[in-house]
Amino acid sequence: MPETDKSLARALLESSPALKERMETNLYEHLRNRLRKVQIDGESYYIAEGDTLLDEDQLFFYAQQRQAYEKQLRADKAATDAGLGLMRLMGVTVTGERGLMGQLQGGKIVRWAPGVALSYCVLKSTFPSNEQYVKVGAAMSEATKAWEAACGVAFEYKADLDDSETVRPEGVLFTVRFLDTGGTFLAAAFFPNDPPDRRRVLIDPSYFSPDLKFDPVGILRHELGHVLGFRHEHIRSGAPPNCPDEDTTDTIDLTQYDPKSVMHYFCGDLGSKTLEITDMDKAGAQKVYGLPLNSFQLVGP
Amino acid sequence: MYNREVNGAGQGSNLSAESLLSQRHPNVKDAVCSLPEYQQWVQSLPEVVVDDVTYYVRGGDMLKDFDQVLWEWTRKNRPDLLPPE
Repeated sequence: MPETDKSLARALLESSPALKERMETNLYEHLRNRLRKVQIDGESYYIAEGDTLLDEDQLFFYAQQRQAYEKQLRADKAATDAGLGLMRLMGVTVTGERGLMGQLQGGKIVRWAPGVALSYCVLKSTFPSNEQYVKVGAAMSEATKAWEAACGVAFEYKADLDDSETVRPEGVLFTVRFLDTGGTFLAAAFFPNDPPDRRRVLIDPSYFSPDLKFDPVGILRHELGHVLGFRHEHIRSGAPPNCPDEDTTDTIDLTQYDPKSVMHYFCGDLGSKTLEITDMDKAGAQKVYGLPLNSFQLVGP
Repeated sequence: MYNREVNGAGQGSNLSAESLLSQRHPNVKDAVCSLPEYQQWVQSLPEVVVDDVTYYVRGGDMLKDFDQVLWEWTRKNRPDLLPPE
């Protein structure tokens, strides 16, 4: 264990002595009595999981995490036993469960390959005005940062390709373009497993309307949710009946239902006009993409 | 109905999974396309044209090609026509 981890655990407990009293200590006490101990350089460590050395404070947090994880497993099992299954696969309908939804293909969750930089440009020549181009570029910057802070994805803005004349410039994974669809949508996007020539985020003129009822950055957070492979939140059986219906074949629930999800439309008095990425969205996204990349202390060979 | 495909959706190397399914099971596609209730439904969907290709708008902000909506409708309304897995 790095010294920093040890210090962090100790610092947490020292800064809030009451913390330890409020937390469950059953497993902690059990592990203290059961785990073997070793002495290294005068320090005493518990050996967990065969090869993990934990000092006294680290053991306390380890026990808390184990208890929380086991509780989650028990809750999942209880839900499954009650018929609230977590999966809905092609040809197999398991009803009841709701939540941030991912997409399946061949029985596996669809996601971008690890290490893929989600590069994009904002095609300037497609926008009627420079002001609109700038507004979308700024909103994309905010929206991509929000997803990068939520889970292990990395977007890359290639501004040097904004002046491309072609709608499919080489060097970016997808483009952001203006397209007048007569208000058919505010914006539209694509899924990771869509054919490559459909990798574009389309912006309709209605996105710029002074009467727009949604946060413009939130709209792009929602669209980028599709780009990452997430489906609409409001298509579950428990969503209000006046929310748009969709085919749920080959989808998978990643969390419990979240009416404030960034992927939930504003329908049936639910949803949010700000379209923020909620804590539950983060939990669901992290099941697919892991923790935000800046959570890691990367160590070279 | 088929002339929408001539516009390009599902053509070339950029095929959706459903376009591949239609290629493998053309009899299902033909059968569904001939159904009046399917024709009525698909004609009611909003359409957009992007780069000369026509797409159907599903769920408010998702663009689907002809084969994608065809298989969506079939799964929901005529699962008896689906090929065995």
